[in-house]
Amino acid sequence: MRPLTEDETKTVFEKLANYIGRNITHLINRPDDPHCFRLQKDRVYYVRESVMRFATSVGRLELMSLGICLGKFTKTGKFRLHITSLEFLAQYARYKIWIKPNGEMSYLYGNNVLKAHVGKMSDDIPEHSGVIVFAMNDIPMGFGVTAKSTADARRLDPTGIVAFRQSDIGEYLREEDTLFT
Amino acid sequence: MAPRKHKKPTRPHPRGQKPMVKAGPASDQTAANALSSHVRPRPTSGKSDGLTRKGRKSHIKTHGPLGNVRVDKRAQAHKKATSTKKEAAKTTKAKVEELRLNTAMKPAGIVHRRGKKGKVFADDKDTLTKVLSVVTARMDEIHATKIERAQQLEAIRDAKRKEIEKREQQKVDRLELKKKEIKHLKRKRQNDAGTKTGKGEAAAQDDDDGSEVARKSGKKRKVRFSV
Amino acid sequence: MVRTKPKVGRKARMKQGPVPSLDEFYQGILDPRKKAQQKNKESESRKRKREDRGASVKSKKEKAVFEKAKSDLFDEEEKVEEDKNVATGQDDFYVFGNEEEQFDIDEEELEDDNEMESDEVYDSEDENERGAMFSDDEGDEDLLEAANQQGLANVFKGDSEEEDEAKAEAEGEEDEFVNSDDDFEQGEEEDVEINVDSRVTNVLPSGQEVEAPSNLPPDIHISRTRIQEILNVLDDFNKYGEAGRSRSDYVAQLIADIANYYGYTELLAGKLFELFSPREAIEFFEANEVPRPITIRTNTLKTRRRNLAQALVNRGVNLKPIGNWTKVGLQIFDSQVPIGATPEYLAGHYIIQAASSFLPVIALAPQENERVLDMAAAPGGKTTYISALMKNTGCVFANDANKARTKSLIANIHRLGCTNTVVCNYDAKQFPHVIGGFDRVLLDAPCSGTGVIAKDPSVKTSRNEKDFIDLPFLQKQLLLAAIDSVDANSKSGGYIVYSTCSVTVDENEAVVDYALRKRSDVKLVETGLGFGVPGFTSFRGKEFNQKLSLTRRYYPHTYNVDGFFVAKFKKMKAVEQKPNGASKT
Repeated sequence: MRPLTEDETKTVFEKLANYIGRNITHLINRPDDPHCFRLQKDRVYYVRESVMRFATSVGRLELMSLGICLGKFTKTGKFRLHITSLEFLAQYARYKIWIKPNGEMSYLYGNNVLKAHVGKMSDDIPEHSGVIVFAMNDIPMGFGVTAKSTADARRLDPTGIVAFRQSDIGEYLREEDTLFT
Repeated sequence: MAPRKHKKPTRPHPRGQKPMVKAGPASDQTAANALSSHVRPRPTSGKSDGLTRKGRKSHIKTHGPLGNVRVDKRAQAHKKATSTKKEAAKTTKAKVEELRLNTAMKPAGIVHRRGKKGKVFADDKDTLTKVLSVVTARMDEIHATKIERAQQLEAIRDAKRKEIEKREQQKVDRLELKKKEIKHLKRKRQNDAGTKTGKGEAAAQDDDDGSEVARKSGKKRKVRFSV
Repeated sequence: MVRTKPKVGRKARMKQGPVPSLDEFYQGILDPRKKAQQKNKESESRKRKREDRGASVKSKKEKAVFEKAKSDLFDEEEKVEEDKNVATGQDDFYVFGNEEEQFDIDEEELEDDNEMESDEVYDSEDENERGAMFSDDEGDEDLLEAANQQGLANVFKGDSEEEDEAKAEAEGEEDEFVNSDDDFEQGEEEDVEINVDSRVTNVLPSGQEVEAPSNLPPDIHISRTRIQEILNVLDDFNKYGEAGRSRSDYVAQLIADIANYYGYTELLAGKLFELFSPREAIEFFEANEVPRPITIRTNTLKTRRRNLAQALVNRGVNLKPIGNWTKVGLQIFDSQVPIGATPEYLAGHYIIQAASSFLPVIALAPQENERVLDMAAAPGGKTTYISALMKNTGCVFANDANKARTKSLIANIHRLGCTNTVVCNYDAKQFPHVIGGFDRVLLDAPCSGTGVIAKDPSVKTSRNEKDFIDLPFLQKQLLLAAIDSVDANSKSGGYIVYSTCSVTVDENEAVVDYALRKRSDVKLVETGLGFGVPGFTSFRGKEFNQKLSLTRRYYPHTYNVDGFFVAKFKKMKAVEQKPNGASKT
């Protein structure tokens, strides 16, 4: 377990900025409850500093997880968000799409978001930008990237894709073996 | 940046020589030293545990009475190779020893890295904020360009649409014009036909025709209304 | 509505017991027929007579009860539906209507709640009901007979060799028998008369009979019949025992028959048999054949039980709160959707968790801002419960020795949104070495699983003598490690909870007693659990620390939870025992 280097931090922040924009400052500035980023094996964790200090007693090989797992670095040095970070990032989401109850299961099985399933969406979403997908009752369901801007999505026919799925909470069941090593 | 990368050793560790020495078929004192201490060095076959397959094979083949030429050659070549290897091992080891002795001295041309070794961590708030500002600046730029591009595209689309509309309008106009023209032409042609037969006649006929038609139509109208 | 319903709920509980019963009602209806058929084959005229009489009476009674329960449930659903339509805000969901206050209370702490609960004689009352319930549910005519004999069993209990047990099983148990006496008073006299003859007949196989069947497949029908007959004899051995046969002959044969009929190894059957009186043992073995209800725990980090229940009801799930002792548990009767794949599940609003595994965490009662260790954490049901009780403050160390199992642990921790956890993969014995000074430690020790046979029937045959030596050895080591990992000077804590899902004494009382002997700076304290049978203070000639009556045992046939054991220790500040404390390190 070690802190991130500057480059790594940059990579991580760039990814986070896709979904929460400037709200990253809320992750850094928590004077009442300081948190930090830590790298363990190839995963990045966001964890309370007090918890992190206790975790330093645990050996590198034995430490399996701490705090919130934001994602992992791929072998090529890119950063990939994991579904485990959804709950935490959802509260800072910049662009949101809500899907209707009839589209929930479809999305949770790993399908893209269709126009017919969209209950509502943020107004000014440009195309190809990161969004967080919610159910109508505000339960965060996953990450996505818009296929069309909000304006264009309005003109779309019901079977058209509004957002591509990137990650969804169905992965807790589907990917249990790979996601948590 | 990639966290999985490991530093590769820049030069072979002295211990790295060990297997090479071990592989040699005929062990001398140095080789024996390199072997683990509890293995008693014996000339040839006794070392079966420590020997690699290659070594043992060469040994058997060279001494075997039925070894054919090809094998023999190979074995000899091998023997040569191993002997050179052994020498190499010897020299490297010696070199390493020397290097160790001379660590205090800096050979000319070798530049030692100065300053802090290893990674630069971003752990305190200031560094993080700094990185964040860089990132947000870039993301904003990207975002801005995205919006800008969207606007540009929209403008282009608008212009195109206008152009298309304009073209449509022109088309319609042209059509109208053509229609008018044709109408006009028809009338003209008819007039021309009249003029061709004879002007005075035509005029008279024209008048006649007109009067006739008028009369006819009036007649017809009368008839129709009367019926 | 709010006022009338709890009444019905209580009535239903009278019949059902707090933990489910729907299954049992079904079973109650199905079983008599099935088993009656079985019976016919091996019928004796005496039995047939009673069967005709008993079955009709019984199934009528059961049907009525079932019908009532059903209609209650439908009522419930209708009401909920209605309310949905009306869309009233507050008292719409009547099932939880009477608990509203409790939801809103800031869960001031479990301990308080538990105190309350233990005050309200929940325990004994419920046991009475359950006694009735089980005799109802057996649905077997033989067991009807058995139930008729229960009064006798009570008498027998008083003077039998199982005195220890009787002692251990306190007042609640006695109430039960008094009550059942009333229930079956009338039948009893009759039965005694009828049974006198049958009891005198030779129940045990003769010498030749014993040897003959060795190469034949064992006949479970014969075993079944003989189990009943031996039980009858053991009820009053002096009266019905065959001359020249010792009590142990009967018991040996009974154990062999149990092993044969229920498919256990004789070793395990014997081990489990000796925990109970003969009749109760049969109840235990029967309960192991019936699955426990599916229960879920609300994740209070993300939602509240009322909201969750509403959401699940909307998805076509039929559910009910587990019981008074937990405010986060829900019991699932049936569901139109897979309960482990709803959006609410994936979003971490609940976790599927056996009711029994709430208990050690309730006993641990972790407080906010403490540092807690869960030594054998996978798959994380208890860890996430601890985290939820601490409201994600402080720090929870979740350790599991099995690397593969940490996967599910990590998945659950993240799904349920626990952010104060550290997951590590150590052999738990290394613990004070890795990090110590915890405020509380939970050791849900690896065990033989004799409490969860209903869930994993392979336990019946897979356990051998060595397991019952090795496992307690490991458990003792782990418990000492757990004790040593606790900071005695902790302001709010200093507690250790030891639990297993096994019911054998070797893995429970013996381990706890060992720890008390080895570590003089710990003492047993009340678990804070409102119910449960006290642990044994002596067992088959072994004397344990008298404080072991503070530990709690749970059996599938008494509480319809998995078999379980919970002990809570408090580590004392080592003032005069300085050398002792020093020697540990």
